Amino acid sequence: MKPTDSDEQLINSFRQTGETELLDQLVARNISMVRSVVYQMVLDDSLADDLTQEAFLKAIAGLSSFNGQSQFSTWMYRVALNTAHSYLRRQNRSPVEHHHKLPEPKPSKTQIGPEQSALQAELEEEVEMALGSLSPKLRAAIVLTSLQKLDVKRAAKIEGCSTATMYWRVHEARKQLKTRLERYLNS
Amino acid sequence: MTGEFEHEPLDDLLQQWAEAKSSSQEGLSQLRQRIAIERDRLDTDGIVVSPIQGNSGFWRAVSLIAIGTSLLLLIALGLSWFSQPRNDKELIANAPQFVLPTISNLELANKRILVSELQRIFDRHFAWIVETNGEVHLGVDQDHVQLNDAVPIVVRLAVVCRKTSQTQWKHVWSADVVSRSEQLVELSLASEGDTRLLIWAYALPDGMIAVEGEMRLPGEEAVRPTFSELKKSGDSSKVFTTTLGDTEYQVFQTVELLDGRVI
Repeated sequence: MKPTDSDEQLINSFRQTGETELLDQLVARNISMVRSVVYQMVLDDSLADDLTQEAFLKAIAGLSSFNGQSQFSTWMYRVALNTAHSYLRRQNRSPVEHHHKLPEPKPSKTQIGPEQSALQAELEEEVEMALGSLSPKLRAAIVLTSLQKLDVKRAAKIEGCSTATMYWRVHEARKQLKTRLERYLNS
Repeated sequence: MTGEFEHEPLDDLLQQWAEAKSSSQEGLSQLRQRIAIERDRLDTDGIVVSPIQGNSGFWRAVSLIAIGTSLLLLIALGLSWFSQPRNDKELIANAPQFVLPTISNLELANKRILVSELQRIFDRHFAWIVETNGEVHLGVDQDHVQLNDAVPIVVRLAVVCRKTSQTQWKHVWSADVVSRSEQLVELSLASEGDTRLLIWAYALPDGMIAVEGEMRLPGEEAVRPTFSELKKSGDSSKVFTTTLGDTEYQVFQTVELLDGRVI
């Protein structure tokens, strides 16, 4: 396996050789993307880890159904989002429940004072609550387009809806987020 | 943002949040190790068993209660069915042009009472109700339903078909769904030819109602209606149409807000 091989070539190699190290490589390449998407949907660190694991195990178990007609990353996005959607349905967590506590402070890349740090934590909490107030489908629309920076057509393909529907969802999600975050957007 | 929408301060705020919430390399490395260990537990057929949560005892108990209550509701629904001033099935069968399945005030009042009673019986576990072909199906939540300000939503679906050479529409299937906003309703009916219904409706702040759904029709496996609609309360419209062989199928939908905040 060459480092320049695509995900699809890696999967073909796995199918031919059965070497599980190739699967590890596939996971390593995509774990950051999958974990971020799942987190942005469920808004909980521990849960995001569990669901990321579940998504990869589903993908590996169902690798035979990947026919290569779309990019592996598109397929993986779909698996990750379906896993998050399924969880949210099972738990009926729409909107996502929040514990209304400030997040654990994370080490900052630049040194900032305590006031700035508190403000940043508050802002992150507000963004999280605003995302949590969106319905899962609207949240998925904003995650795919605004956070993952996919184009609307690809986002629609991942979510299994028409491009027009995705446009509408993104528009509606952005409208709701702007309303909720108005105070911070104007300051 | 992707260029299809103008870049705005909102995008900067979201990106800033995403960056702050991204997992560390160490965290990702640990997660990779977890996945590798679990991957080794996959059997040779690649079957993964990793339920996150479950409480079968609770669901068994709830199922028994639901079946019992369904029987009582069936009687109540039967009475209200016959008290309706018009019968939609007859209208559908006799109308050359299909009559949109509007929901009368009397029907809304009956649903309000029905939902209120279910709410009382199931406390806050009650999530949705589907009335189809004289039967009542209940959805209950394992957890207490989180009350919100959104009023319940009624979605009426009516499926009709006709031979392309004919003008008369024939009733295929119909259902009334009442759910709280943003509640996913999943219904599978083995007794009705493996009919399946998945519907999700929610009320937007501006009063519009978004409804998305998928269906599998009784005895018509090849016909899989899907729809994604945005409507005002009280609106009726055709949401799906297809022709299979010499048969044309149409799905009509009406949505109403069930005022009274009973869920």
